[in-house]
Amino acid sequence: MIKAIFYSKFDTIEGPKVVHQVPDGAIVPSPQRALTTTLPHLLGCLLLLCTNGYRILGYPICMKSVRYDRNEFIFNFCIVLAEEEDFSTYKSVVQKLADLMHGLEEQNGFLSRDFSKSGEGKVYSLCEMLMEDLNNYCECMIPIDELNTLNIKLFPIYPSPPPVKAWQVPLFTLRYQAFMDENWDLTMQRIVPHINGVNSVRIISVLADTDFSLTCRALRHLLYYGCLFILDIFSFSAIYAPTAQFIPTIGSDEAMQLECARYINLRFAPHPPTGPSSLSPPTLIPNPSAHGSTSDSTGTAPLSSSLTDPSSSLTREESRFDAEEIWPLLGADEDPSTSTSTSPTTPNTLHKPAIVDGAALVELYASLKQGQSVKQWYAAHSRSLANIDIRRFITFGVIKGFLYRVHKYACATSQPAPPPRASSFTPTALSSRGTTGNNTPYAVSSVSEDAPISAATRRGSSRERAGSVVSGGRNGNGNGSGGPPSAFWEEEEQEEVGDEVLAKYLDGTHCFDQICTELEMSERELTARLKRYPWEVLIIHR
Amino acid sequence: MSSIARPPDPCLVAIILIVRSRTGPRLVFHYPPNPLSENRIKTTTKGGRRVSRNRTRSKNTDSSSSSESGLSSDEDEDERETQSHAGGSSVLAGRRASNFGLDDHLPAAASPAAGEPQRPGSLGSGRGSSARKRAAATEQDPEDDAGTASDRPDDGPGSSRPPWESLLGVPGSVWEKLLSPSRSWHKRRFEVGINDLALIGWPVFVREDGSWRKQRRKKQKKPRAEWDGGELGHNDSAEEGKKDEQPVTSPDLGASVASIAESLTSPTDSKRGSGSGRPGKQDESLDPEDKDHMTMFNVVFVVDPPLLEYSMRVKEIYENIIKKFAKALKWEQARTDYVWKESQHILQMRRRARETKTSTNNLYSELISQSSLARAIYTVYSSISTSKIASVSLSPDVSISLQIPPLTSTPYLTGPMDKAYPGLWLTTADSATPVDDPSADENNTPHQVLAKHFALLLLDSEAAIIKDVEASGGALAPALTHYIRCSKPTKSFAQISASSGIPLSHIQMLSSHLVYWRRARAIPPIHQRDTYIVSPNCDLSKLEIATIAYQTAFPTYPSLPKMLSTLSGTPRPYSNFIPSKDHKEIYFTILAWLLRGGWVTQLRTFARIKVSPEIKMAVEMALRKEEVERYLSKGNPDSISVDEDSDSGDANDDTHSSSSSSLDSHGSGDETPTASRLDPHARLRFSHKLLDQSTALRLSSFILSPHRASPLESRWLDEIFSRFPDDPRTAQGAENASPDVSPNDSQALHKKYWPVFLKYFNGYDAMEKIPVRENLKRKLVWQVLMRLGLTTGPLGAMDLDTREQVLVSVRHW
Repeated sequence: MIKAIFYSKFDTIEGPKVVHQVPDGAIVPSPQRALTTTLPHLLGCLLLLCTNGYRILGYPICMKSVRYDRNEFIFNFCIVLAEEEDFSTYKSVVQKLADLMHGLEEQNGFLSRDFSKSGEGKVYSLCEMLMEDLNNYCECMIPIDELNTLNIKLFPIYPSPPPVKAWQVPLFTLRYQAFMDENWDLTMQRIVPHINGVNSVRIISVLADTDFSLTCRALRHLLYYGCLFILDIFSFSAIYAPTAQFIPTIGSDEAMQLECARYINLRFAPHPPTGPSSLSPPTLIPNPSAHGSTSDSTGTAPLSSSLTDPSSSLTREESRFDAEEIWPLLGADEDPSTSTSTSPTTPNTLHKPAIVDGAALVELYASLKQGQSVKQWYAAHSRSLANIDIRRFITFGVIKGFLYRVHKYACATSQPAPPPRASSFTPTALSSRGTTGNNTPYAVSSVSEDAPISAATRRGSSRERAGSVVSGGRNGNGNGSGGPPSAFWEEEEQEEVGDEVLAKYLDGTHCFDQICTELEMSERELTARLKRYPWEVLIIHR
Repeated sequence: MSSIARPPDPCLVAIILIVRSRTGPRLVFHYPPNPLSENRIKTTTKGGRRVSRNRTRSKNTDSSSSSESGLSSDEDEDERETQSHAGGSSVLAGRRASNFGLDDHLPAAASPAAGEPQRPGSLGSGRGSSARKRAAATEQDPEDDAGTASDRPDDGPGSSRPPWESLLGVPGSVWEKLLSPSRSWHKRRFEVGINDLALIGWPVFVREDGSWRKQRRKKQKKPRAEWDGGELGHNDSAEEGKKDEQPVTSPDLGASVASIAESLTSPTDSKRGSGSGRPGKQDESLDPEDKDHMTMFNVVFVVDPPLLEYSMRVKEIYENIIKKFAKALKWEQARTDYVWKESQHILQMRRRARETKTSTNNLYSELISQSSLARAIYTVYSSISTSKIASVSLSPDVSISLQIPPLTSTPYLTGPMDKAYPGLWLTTADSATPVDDPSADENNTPHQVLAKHFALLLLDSEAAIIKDVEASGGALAPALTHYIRCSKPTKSFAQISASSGIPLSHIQMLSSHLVYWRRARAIPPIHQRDTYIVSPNCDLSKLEIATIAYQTAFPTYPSLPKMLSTLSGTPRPYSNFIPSKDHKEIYFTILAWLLRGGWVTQLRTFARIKVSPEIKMAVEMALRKEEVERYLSKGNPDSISVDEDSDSGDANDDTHSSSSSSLDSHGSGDETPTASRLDPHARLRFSHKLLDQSTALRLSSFILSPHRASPLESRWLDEIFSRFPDDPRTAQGAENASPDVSPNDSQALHKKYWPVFLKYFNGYDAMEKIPVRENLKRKLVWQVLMRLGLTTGPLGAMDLDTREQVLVSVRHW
């Protein structure tokens, strides 16, 4: 809130004086702004002064012309704010005001010919309107004469977002269709339809056929205005774990639990889950196919504050969340018909709740942990997750900040790689999981030739070794997993990434997502490749 | 996310000392000689914000290049900045950051910058070119005397003006006028902004009687012995002890803005200043100045905080540095006329240097070596601007230490959109927050008292710290040395106190001293049964350097990457990684090393009680039964008002339907009572509250704070407790997992500890605290917790009774 605006000038006879002030009497006429007008070095600078709990912003300007007495005219428009108030947005207001007045004075002596008494005249009413409009509407449009108008809008200032990375996944926070028009930047217009919370930046630039660096800039621009979230590349081999925000957010906030239920419940998915078979091997559990279909809906289902997307609110009135229907149904044990039944009020509701309620959602989130991939987690909770869109489930947590992605980093040591052990263990029973790179961009091409074995080995190894103490640095990461995968890979390797290319990613500062994106390989390929790296490679989860 | 606290960033550009005497204000000293030009070189290596800010700046410059010749490229700007004083276009040029922003390739017209007019590039030059400005300077300003005119930077290097008399492209006389406020600013924050720079000071004025402090307090010269925020091993700063020694002159709050008038030099003032002061400055000998007295001094810190962090940065440096430093100077001034004497000394040397045409560098090295005040300012600048502790000695008697306390830990993990501070200790185990203390039995003044269940983790080797402590030989040194020797990161303060005999309050005081002065950190005691993970916030870019340091520290043990990799898998208690009992000590040392560097963090477990629908229904029915009984016992319905009658009638109906044991009848009744629930005539609040809950009856929920449970929640808790089975069968089951606990114990265990543990089940208190706080065995605590439904690791697969599984746990740092 602007407390006051005043206009002072250097009078050739009286010296510095306050000519006009709004509100009247806010500033007792005094020579005080003399400061700004008598220090010639500070003319044309934005000045700021704190006093008595007020902060005064001013921008003194000196104009030279023979038409003035002493050949110069010094004036200053100042804005008074409360000291504790954020003044950043007003800096530009003061500057703009000064610039406009400078122009007006140059054109027709707007200020120097204003001889009206204090509290009257054009300049005064300008200040008055400016203050009222900015305080009430945060913007103003004040016509001054036939040529000039004072247009000011208070813009909030946001921190500059960090550079966008190729392996990040943007997701709109609002419906871009609502505010995009044909005047937009061409790159922006092309990339926007591909932003869906699934495609990585790199993929977006490929799909939109736009220059990569321009894509990044465009996305960064959207980020600046808070139009995007940045997510990670979702895959079933990724690891997520709760952050310290867990309890204060989803753990306590029942509204957020409802919001979550609405977002993740397959019942509200805009399109019925018709799984594109090309995306998921037929052996997969039903959910990943739902991912494929809901993925493109994400763009149109913006995660605005309530995460209610209009398409689904067609089916349900959002005003009244029935406690029963918002919650995803529990998967049936054997009989699939129960999942389609609309009424949950079966006699055994009490003893065997057929729904995943808020507390159960929290439990599900809480059961995500370090060292456990989404796949393993799904296997353990498949019944609860039967009617839940896994990707959305994870994404929701990441967006709300109570989940974080545990990234993998590879770090090569100077030790020679130990010889691959004999297949001392067999993959654990998780072989029915989806492929690792299912949702990673480059897996699409290779997914058809996939067999789940190698991925299973990878994960399996960490599981297997979880109990062992002696395994030293190599446990939990599957480096030691032996023969079968490499034999498997040998026959389908087309072109191998060179060691020296790989080496620069192995300093522990590049996460797997980055390596995979930049080398255009799937995580599984990368893992296999790392095994054949001549030096020992340690994998750090962070 | 604005909630993320940022570590201190000094943003310090320069320090200016202004004194005012009868002859007018004087810019006595400023450091560095050429601010921002040096700064730039130094800070670009800092990466992060500075770099980006520079980029923003150059971008702004670019955008204004159309109006301002010569501002077309970064190189130009750099060049000009290095030239610093030479020219009207100073370093303040183009430093606006009003559109902190993005690249200039903003596609949409929505950028705030788009609508803005172009800015002039110079601090001094107003709108126009410097030529115009020069014209202005010579033609105008009747009150500018020749002395000021010769201060024009535009006069170039050829003039007789020594380079050190201008600062940031603005001559000293301007600063003198700007930075010597009126008396109403006495001991208050003085803040002026010029473009993106903020100049902050804490001016001190001489008292009416000519002294610098109240007389009666003069005796208090001896520094206090107790720690008072003073620096480790230094004489405790005297002025620290006597904060608020004088009542702060109450600011005339009622005064209108007009009183600012007096605050700054009015034109008459400056005229007088230039009339009488300047000649004195230029050619008078010391003699008249001897009779002169200082009336004010003001140490002004020039900072350039990013716009968005402005108030935070300004507050940090004001509270921690500016005020304390000025107070110290005031103390010395009162004692020995220190500031005035030193100022005269410095001014004299400057005069001499001017005559002999000494170079700036020589003058500054001479000043710093000969004047303790100049040295103090130099020390403050060089330490604070690099976020270090400044140890300043003003005289042999008085020395102080200043710092902006750094952020030691954060609970927030930054997302990809936030600015990250890798390497910062990621934890919710904050030793000073009340959350840490459910019973709130501690004195919770931050920084003063550390929770007694924390341990001390030294941030340097014990020997190095002791050496420093002994070298400085302060009053605290022996006590500190003794304590440091006793301290172990595996033992809490309370335990150390018990074992060493040092009183707990002393330990807490000494520890907070060490923590405050960055020698140690308060952590939850390291324990082999606790779980540690690779910190998501660790700084992997330092991995290479750290690996070497680690190698030298622990040459025969697995390398740092190996260790991190080991800790990367499924979280397991640290004991799993210790190969044998003999290795325990060294593995604890390794863990301490990892914690110190922020490489790992403790994974802590938090739990909440989940109330299942069964419990809710049972309580609901019991309540209704009570309701009915109360109603019936009241006997005659005539005595009850109509409202109550209808309400209890409702309740009665419901009770009937639900007591008919069919649950779906209750469920179907769900829709109809909605109207009656909204009945404004409700008088039986309790029963109505329950009715409101009835929709939620079929959903489980959490009890948010068990030790402050509502009446209904208390009923639920009682119900949960009453359902704990105590049949021997469960005891058997539990016994399998806990062979060393006798069956009898095991049976009673969870019932016994339930009331004790209850208050920890709030989701904010880590389960790891329970053993330390309640002084129980970890094993026992975990057995009980496990039976209550805590699932951590493979042991969770015990055969457990579902009635006991009431906890929902989550693990994070």
